[in-house]
Amino acid sequence: MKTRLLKLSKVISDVFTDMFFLFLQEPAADMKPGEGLWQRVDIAVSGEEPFQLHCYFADSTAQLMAENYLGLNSEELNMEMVQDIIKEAVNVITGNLLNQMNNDSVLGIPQYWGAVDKLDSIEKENFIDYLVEEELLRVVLSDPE
Amino acid sequence: MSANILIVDDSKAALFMFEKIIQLSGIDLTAIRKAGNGFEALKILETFSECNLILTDLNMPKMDGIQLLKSLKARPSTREIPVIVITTEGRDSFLQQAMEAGASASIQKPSRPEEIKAIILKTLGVNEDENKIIEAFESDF
Repeated sequence: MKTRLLKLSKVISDVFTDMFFLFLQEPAADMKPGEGLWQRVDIAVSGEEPFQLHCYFADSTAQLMAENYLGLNSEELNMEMVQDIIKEAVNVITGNLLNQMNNDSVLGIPQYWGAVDKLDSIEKENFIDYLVEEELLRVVLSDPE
Repeated sequence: MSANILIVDDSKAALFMFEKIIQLSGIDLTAIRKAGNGFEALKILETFSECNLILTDLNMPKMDGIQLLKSLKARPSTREIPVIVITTEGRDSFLQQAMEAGASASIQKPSRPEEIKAIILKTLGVNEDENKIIEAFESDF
């Protein structure tokens, strides 16, 4: 799991830079998630080494990703497009991660899970936090449910 | 050669992006149609007989790209249409599966617009240099 987290970290940075023109930073060690909602997207990978990815995007981050990727301003975007973008992000991140795994793992379809208001309620050990334009982005790696 | 392109992807954002890239690329374009999965694509092709290029995502619900490829190659009316697969997958085994199912080329996400344009032109059999000459000629008028 640790090795996969390391590979995942590199992939996420590359995808955010190449697709969304956003640079990820490491949050301060004592940084706690702020108030607000996060949009959650899940994806499952099946096969030899199954796992799941749960990604939590702050509202403003999801909006910015959509604006940058589609070349549209905020007035031109709707919620469906923003959800679509973060699903696509998770799809590309996971696909690129699988490219580095030399096995026959099968990529699932990303699922928009909904909005959550408390990241602290997540009790998973294997996660990575990033800072995107002052907002927290959390990616959680877990075993299949 | 004028292009009549069908784009197949369950992501509306991806459909939007590919349509935009194609429209801004300078490719001689007559029509673009869009579908959200393989079933929709086959339905559209029933009345889109002039289609001469298909771009399809591989990872889609209901009917994925591989299944779509096999269906296209099994039908006389669509067998000869070149298909470019769009995928996040770069693994050899996966790409080989797509090629064996009949794909002409692949685009890996994320790709730059100029890379996508080059693959499309090559698949359509259009020389990119000739396309640039045509673009320059038209821009003078």
